[in-house]
Amino acid sequence: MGIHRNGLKWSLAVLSLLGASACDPFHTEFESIEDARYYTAAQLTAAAPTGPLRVMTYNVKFGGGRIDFFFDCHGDRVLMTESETLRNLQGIAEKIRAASPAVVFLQEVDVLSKRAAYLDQLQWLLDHSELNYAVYASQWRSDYVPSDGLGPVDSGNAILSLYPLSDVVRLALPLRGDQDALTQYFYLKRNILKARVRVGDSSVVLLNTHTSAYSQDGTKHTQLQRFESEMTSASDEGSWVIGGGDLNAIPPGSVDTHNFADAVCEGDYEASDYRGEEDWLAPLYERFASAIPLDDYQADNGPYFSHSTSSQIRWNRKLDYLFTNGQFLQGLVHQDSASGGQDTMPLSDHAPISAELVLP
Amino acid sequence: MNGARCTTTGDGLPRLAPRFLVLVPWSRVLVALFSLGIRLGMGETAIASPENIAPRPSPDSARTLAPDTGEVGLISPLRYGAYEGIELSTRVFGALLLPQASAKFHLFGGDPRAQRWSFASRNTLSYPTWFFERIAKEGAGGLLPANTDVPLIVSLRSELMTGRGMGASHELSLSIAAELAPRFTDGRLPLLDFPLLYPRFAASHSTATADIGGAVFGSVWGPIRYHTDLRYYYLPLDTADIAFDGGYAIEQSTTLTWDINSTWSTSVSYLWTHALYPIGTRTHSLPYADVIYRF
Repeated sequence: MGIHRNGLKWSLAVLSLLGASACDPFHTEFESIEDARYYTAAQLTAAAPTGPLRVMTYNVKFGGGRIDFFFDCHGDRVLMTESETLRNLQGIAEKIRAASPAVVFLQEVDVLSKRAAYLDQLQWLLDHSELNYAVYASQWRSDYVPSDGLGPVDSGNAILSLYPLSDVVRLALPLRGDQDALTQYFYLKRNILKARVRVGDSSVVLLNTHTSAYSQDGTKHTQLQRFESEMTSASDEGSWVIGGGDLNAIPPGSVDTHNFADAVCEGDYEASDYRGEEDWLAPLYERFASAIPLDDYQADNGPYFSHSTSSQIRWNRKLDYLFTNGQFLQGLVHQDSASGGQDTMPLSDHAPISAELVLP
Repeated sequence: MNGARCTTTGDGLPRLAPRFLVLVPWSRVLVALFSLGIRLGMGETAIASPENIAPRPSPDSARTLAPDTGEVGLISPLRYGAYEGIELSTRVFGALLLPQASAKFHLFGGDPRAQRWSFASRNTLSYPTWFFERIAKEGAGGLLPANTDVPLIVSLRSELMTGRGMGASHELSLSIAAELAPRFTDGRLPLLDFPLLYPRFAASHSTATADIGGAVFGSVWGPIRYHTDLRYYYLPLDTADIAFDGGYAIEQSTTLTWDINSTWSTSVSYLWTHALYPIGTRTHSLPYADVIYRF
């Protein structure tokens, strides 16, 4: 997801006119470490920890379902109506309720964006699931994105939980270095959302991220290294750690690395050529256990694919991950009714992944 | 107080002055000094003076321009006194993006400068569809998606104005307005929630809006004039497509104008706006300058 250069020249004039004296007139910038935003469900569900901790990661594509948006290069839609957004969110909420995770990592959840009819999707999903608490770290925030009619955007990563969350921080990831200052000002600011959840006598550090999709300068690699470093630090402190999200990278040993049939974008939105990046996730696989073991994936890639930008083309690459320093059971990519009980293709351009962490 | 008496200067302010000073035609002296200063500063350009720069009613005044007089600015509207009590106006450059025309009618009441209330109405007809179609294009600022299906909208804004003088060189104006912007064709128009444009085009999303405000304007010193105003917009937006219950906007602007000579003026202004948008309340300010030609 990104912004066109068309219109950005114009935005320079906007910047100079509106609140020119302010350092950050459109509120797009973040500190390197910031507090995250806390949410609580309208009605709390009683939670008694039993058995392993079920966790899910899901890039929900701002509730866009399979509407053909301009950035996918399959259509020209920019904005959704409230009814469209709610209809798509209902499917996502149904999926989450059916999987009944105790912890959910969400990526691309919009809390106040024009493209999603200004609906606070995180609060809505919290209120329409069994989960009680959530924290949010914005990844793309601007009072106005002067490009493509996007207008105001606030979209990012969230962690939802049945149990209270604490020690929550937004850790800024390195910004793309291949953009001019003006583009970068309005562009996405990737982050790691870090929180701690206490389950019975166990304390688990949670790390949710969504790394860069479009960078051509190695920024994504740097972000992945930072993510691995944060997971390692938390693990070295003696905590249980679960980290995951949409890493926009394919596992080592992937058969297909480019020329995906659904990837029709060129230029700024070309994001699906992973040649040269095949080993970027190797350190994570070497140090942590994956919801989908690498051996299983390398034996047969297909059942573990989690992404396709087109509803007409089946999942054809794996971009979504869950890792832990403990032991995962029941790792599953919820691709369809046969694998997860519900067809997830209409809900988002990513399939959710779940696993259960064995706690003592 | 021998040798002194209480008198009144040309601007109506009481002064204590020695008798001989009262005999001096101070207004002419001041004009002469002022003219000299301007002449020294401006070379051979035309000279401004209180005599040859007749005070023109502000656009916010309940008064209208005298027949066959007018003014036009880069930002300020083109205004023309068509008849006694009737003033026509449009924005020359703005009309390229938003075709519009206004007519102000003096209704009744005395000259505000004589501390009498005067009443007027101003009605503005505009065609916002033209503006929306211009900005709903690739590379046109990104304000609206390029695939926007803009409906045909005609907007009528009606404003009731009243004003009266405050002292000899200041004037107060109050007004209340409603804007109706019915749609004549189907279409889907996203909310234009960009600062400053937001209250001005909100009626296109809600069929009707209302606003109320006031202004004070007058002379600061010699060729320097001021204008300051405050306005509140009530924006009951059509929320069928978005999760938003409507908003408001408050705008305050102040302008200082320098009448360079009898035909040219220049001004500096700021516009401050505080509004409730779908993303919450935001405050912005906009400095700008203008050049005005009078005829």
